Amino acid sequence: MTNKVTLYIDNLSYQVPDNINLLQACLSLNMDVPYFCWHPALGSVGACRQCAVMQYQNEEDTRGRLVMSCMTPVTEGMRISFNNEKAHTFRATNIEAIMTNHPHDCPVCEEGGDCHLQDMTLLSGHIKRRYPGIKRTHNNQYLGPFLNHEMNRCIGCYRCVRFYRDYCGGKDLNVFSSKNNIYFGRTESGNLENEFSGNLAEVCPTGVFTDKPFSKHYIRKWDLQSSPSICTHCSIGCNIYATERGGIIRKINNRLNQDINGHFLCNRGRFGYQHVNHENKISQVWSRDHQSNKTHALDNIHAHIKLKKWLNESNARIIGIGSPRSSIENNAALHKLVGAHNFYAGIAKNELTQLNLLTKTYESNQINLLSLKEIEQTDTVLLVGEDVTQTAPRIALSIRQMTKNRGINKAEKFGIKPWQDEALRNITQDTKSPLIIINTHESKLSDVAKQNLNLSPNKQLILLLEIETYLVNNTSHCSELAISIASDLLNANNPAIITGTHSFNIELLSACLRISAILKKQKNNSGFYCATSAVNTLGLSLLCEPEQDITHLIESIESEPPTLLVIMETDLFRYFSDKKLTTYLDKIKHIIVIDQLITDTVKMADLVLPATSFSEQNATLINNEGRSQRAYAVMPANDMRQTPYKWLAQHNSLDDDHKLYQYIQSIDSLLQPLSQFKSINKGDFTSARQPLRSSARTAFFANVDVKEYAPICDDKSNLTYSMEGVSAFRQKTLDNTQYKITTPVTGVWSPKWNSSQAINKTSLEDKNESDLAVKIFNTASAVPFEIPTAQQKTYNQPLNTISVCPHHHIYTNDDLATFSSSIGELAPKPLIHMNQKQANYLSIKSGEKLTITSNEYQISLPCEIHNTIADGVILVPFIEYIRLGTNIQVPSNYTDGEYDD
Amino acid sequence: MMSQIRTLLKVLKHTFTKSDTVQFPEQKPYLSPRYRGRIVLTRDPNGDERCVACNLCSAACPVDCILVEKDETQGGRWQAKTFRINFSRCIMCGFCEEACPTHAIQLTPDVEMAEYDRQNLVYEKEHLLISGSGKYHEYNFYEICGKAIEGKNIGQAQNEAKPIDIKSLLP
Repeated sequence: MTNKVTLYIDNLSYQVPDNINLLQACLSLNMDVPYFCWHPALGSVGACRQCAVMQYQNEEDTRGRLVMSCMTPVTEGMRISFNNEKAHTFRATNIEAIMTNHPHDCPVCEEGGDCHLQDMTLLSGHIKRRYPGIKRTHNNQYLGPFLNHEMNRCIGCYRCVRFYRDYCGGKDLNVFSSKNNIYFGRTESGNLENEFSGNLAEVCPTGVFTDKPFSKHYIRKWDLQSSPSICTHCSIGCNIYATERGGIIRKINNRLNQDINGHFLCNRGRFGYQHVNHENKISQVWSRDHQSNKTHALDNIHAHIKLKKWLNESNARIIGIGSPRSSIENNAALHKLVGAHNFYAGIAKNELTQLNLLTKTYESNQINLLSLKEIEQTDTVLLVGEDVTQTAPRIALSIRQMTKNRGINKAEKFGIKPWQDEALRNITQDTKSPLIIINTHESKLSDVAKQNLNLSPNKQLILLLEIETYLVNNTSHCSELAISIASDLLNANNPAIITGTHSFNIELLSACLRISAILKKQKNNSGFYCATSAVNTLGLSLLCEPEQDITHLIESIESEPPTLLVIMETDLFRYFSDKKLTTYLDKIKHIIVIDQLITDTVKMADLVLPATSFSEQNATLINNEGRSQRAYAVMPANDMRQTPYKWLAQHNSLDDDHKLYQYIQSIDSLLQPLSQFKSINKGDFTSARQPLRSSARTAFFANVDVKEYAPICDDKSNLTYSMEGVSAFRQKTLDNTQYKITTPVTGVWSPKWNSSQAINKTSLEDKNESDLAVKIFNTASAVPFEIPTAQQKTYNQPLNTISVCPHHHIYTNDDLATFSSSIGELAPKPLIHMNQKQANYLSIKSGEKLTITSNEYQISLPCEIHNTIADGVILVPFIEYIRLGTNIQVPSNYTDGEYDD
Repeated sequence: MMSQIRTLLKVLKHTFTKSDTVQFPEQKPYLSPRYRGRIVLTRDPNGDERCVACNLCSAACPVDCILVEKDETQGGRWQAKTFRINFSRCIMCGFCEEACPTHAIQLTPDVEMAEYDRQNLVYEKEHLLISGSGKYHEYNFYEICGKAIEGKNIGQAQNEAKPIDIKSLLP
């Protein structure tokens, strides 16, 4: 618990929490204290000497001494002066020294206008350069498709390496040389390997690391129209600001949500937005004419006439496929249109089974659902069967922070605070909170893991069942490994089990759930987290009954094909082989596809309705912990694009928002909390999406028509597509009397603070951003449910069977992100991975092609040998794995001979 | 009485002074080089475009009539992909010239811009770009800036040391 202490700044008294440093305290009190090296997530090192303030012994002391506020803990009765002449001169001289080598680059620097160095220079009063001498220069490096490198601009604050190495565990960025020659880069040019490297653009206080894709369609910060949104590239639902100008998404910025993403995003979330600007986006209604075999564009009215005709055909049997990456509103609209029995989730069979199990367990309140913030606070993590770095990367960053907790606790005994970074690291040394990873292959988290167990799925399950038995009756019949893991969990104060649905192994998932449930009985603080596949997968599964998935649907198409199939934002070709799917789809009379990009499924459609991307719609999304969050459109829909629920509104009688939300609530009682989004349009204030200094408003469309039109009105939210409204960024006033404004904040800005660092000037208690998030699984009303126990036959399988397992990759897993050119550049070639022993057994060499077949699909890919993969496991790329479906076989001609386990 | 006579005399005297009004357009008045008239985009002494698309003119413009969109050449120079001034809005205040860090945008003593159609007052980059350097002849931004471009590597700008060899053991 934090207590409040009183401190006196320039003879005025203030109350601040006692666990923070003086700098953070001053910033939260809305004082303009300049700083460079401090970062709320990275702590203080006192490297830049910029945040100096004068501290006094007592009331009588008039001389005082200079202290670095970031290195000073707040104490009761402390007296400091920020405006003191000496302190001010110190800060001004210091920045003048820092600026001697800074190049004359601001006009051609992407950071300009969003630059912490610019802000701090003006804040410290250094306005004119007096240094006439020679500037030192540095050569730059190529750092991959995400970041530009311009070392001349460096001010040596060390934030980049502290973030990259200490926070993210990256190895390939380092600091070289000494004194004025100091250099931050790689040993040689090359792609930055870490999945969070993109954050360097925000972490760096100046323009050394800048966003490369942003630079290709560059707009100054003051011109960016921005709105609070939710990242749609994995199941976590990180909070972002999407920024736009002229119908093009320019950049994704982090939006601070302490419960989820904190200050950082992964590269997939930060750079995956380019599908919105892609040339293959659909902006018109397309209709196929079967007589002439031609495709032609339709206008809005004819599209609806056609839709109506098909929907009202006699003997019509209509099936809808909902989408895990589309909002609850869209899925509910389709659900209403086709009816509950005909609504299928756009996910595979085994995933929906997993999701049903998850939601039932969550509802029964047998386990504690964690948020990412809470994961960071646990002290032991058992990570099972999920390579989170690849499937939901932000979790991996939180788990990495978790491992530091034992060191933090150790340091606390010496009176060291968590933000005292250098001292903390000195005391911590190699002390780590236990992280036990059970997976088929080694992941990027293995460097901080206490135990890294690479096992085939069957062995994983046996181990988990042993742990479960040990936890229940403490028998010593279990293997030593199981006992050691179980005792790690039992010794912890708040252990967490983290898993995911990407192993597609229902037995493994239910074992994890059972262990969590048992742990919760013994330790009330234990928790559970499960990564799912897409941003709204959990929400979608609430709309579907079991077995309403596309695998079952395709099987039923064969026997009784529907007359009309409405596919919403799902690329079926990701799940099935081309041949199989084409024959099935040919049996259907009419296919309507509502999507934003031309996918293979869109090419099969008879009528294509253009859907809006995440940036053009207000949406409610439910993430993997059942947190429903609201995302706002950043721009009006392009051309003929419409949010899918609007396309369907005329035909499903949900023509206003009130009816829509009422319908959503009637589907599942868990969706009740969404009712709050009904009243979201009504607020006292409107918020401006554009910053105050939005420029070129009378020139932007002047080439089309010199007449100026009124800005487009957004009737679905109380945000405006203009500068009109309360200012985007709000902060507490000094006397804490801010009027509570509930409209969402659309950007990060504070007077004199133009860069994203302005976020540190928000008050510490203010949780403005996450006000709109609701957890749908509430602990008050539990619905009893028994987690199914393991079936004997699955784990009694002979151990020498070869398991084909999915291999995930951050840059290929998400279908929309792969449309981004920068992400596509880093996508790996599809390969099959296995260890040497397995390769010997199959008598195959590295680089040779291996063929794997299933009932309806066959892949043939080159092999690569990695000895960190478990015995008996063959890893195939995730996309291919899904298409393989069930009954996967490695051809029998390879499997002669003895397999020695 | 005396003041009335003085007034009459002054008026009489004024009859013989040279008139300030000229017979425009046959006769042109003298406008000083720093007169704030039609806006142009200039080139540096090497003949390359001076504008680096930094958007400062656009931000300084009180009537928001300047649109600049950034592009980058193969050689690494920043330049404007779009540079549009809506002169039907422009108030010739000259803030853009003051804001320009590269002396690219300059106001000229040309004021003859009247049009019958307002749409014709929208000037694109090709209408604005001139081939000379305008009022400031010597200034070349890229000779001072630290960013490397084709033909000027790191360490070759004014007041720049050679790039540091980070593998050297010397302090």
